[in-house]
Amino acid sequence: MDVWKEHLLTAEEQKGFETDGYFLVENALSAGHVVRLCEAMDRCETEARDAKGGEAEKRLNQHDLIERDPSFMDMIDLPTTFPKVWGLMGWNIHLFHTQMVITPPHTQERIEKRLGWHQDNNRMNKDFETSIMSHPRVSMKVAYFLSDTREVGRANFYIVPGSHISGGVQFANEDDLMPEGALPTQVKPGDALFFDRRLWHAASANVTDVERRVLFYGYSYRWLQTKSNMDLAHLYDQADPIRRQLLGHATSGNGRFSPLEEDVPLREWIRENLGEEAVAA
Amino acid sequence: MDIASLDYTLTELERITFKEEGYLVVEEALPPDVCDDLEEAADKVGAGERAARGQTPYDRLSVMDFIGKDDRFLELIDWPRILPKVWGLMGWNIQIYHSHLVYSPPEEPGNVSSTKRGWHQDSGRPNVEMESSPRPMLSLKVCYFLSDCMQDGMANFYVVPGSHLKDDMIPRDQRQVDPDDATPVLVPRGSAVFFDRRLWHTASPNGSDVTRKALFYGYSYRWLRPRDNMTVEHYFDRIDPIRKQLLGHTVTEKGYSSPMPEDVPLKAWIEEHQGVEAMAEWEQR
Repeated sequence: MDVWKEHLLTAEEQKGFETDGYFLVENALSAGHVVRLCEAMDRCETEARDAKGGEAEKRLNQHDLIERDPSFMDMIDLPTTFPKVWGLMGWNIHLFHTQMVITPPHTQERIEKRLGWHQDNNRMNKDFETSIMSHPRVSMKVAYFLSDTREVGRANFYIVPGSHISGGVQFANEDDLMPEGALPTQVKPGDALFFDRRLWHAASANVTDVERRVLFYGYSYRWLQTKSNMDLAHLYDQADPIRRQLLGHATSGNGRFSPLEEDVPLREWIRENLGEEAVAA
Repeated sequence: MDIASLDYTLTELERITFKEEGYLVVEEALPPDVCDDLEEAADKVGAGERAARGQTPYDRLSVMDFIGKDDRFLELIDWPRILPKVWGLMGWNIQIYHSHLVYSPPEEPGNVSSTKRGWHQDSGRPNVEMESSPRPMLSLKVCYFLSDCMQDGMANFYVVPGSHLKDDMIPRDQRQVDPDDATPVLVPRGSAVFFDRRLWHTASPNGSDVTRKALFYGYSYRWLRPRDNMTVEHYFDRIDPIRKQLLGHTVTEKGYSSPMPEDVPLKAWIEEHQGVEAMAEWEQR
């Protein structure tokens, strides 16, 4: 874990996240790591399509990856990204969602309609009674791109920078297909995109010959329910204390709101390595 | 769910009071015979806990997660005079996330000031970890008073009216002192006091000779983890689907974050009996 100290959140990344709602970490995964994850995804895809009776030419969206392959478990505290996650959110966090998406070539024709723009976490956005411009962050995701989406048309991940605090997306004209400020992220294999759950974003069609692959790891405060019913308690024994925290361990329900030291070993690691000030909040 | 609930939906005045003051008093929420039953159940639980913890009769007793300890406590989760007001304030995507039985006995003679003030907003870490302002409500509590609290000095529940939107009103080192607008909530036995979890509040000492007895029922959105361990599953095979929802049960894979109708039967019940427009606020946001 000493290597975590080499990948702390930078001031520039923090500013980008707060102002724009996202930032990119290039080469978060080595080329070899991308290959290994793609192999795991292949296995997972075969199982998932067999189980669902899915057609190979359709987009595959699979949740709950942790138990599907050891390489997916190893991503939860990846040295090149995880220190930036707690740099943004602090120590009282856990994994609340994992997802892989495979968008095969020519998944959809270029359809002349608007993309599915949304903020993450669904009901929460309707249940908050405060103004949309002052909703809290609560969670974020790291998207690992395993295929080359430097060209537009490859099912790029679309975002509207700054929309996490600006009150939503606006279409200048009624027949505009894209909201103002929308842009496709254009990233290479191994890059990791960090984004605030409030950032308005959308999937898009793959109109090229290149399959698009991405893994999403969602982190939230420990008092948020997981997105799906991912009960990983049976994995606690084989995990180190910080992983156990990330997988959902708590000494009691109250330990998610008023944590004891044993609820949050991540706090102790940060305290020991970066000092009391780093865990003061 | 009791159809009589429809007689007790949230009034406009109640809505305005709660939104502006951060709390709302509903008198006669519990008839005297129900109070008697609940008091008997609470006394039993309280005596057991006090013995188990080795507490003296003068110690304040707080028992979390008490709903599973007696069927009579279960009856209050969808109490017809109260639940309609909860859904009127929060919508249909709700659950019990926390329950709390509190007995505040008379202070030990000669030691009346032993209970210091502890001004706080509820929920712990979310107050630090939600960086927006004002922070959202997330949850509210309904406090049922099983004893009279009509005079100051009876371990009254103290609040600062209207303080729920003032995120950091009382600095950490000043929470043992009453702020200027500190107000005791004076209520007769059988009353229910609703309060927004953000409302700054505190317990206070009991200088009377009557034990103050109160039951707190906390309702939150279903995407919040329960604060209690929710030791209530033994009820599940004999309660209706709405009660199961309220006790945290979910059916579908993503039932907490993206509920389907079977996860939230309360929604259909309200829409059928009170009307779709009653829940429109939670669809339009």
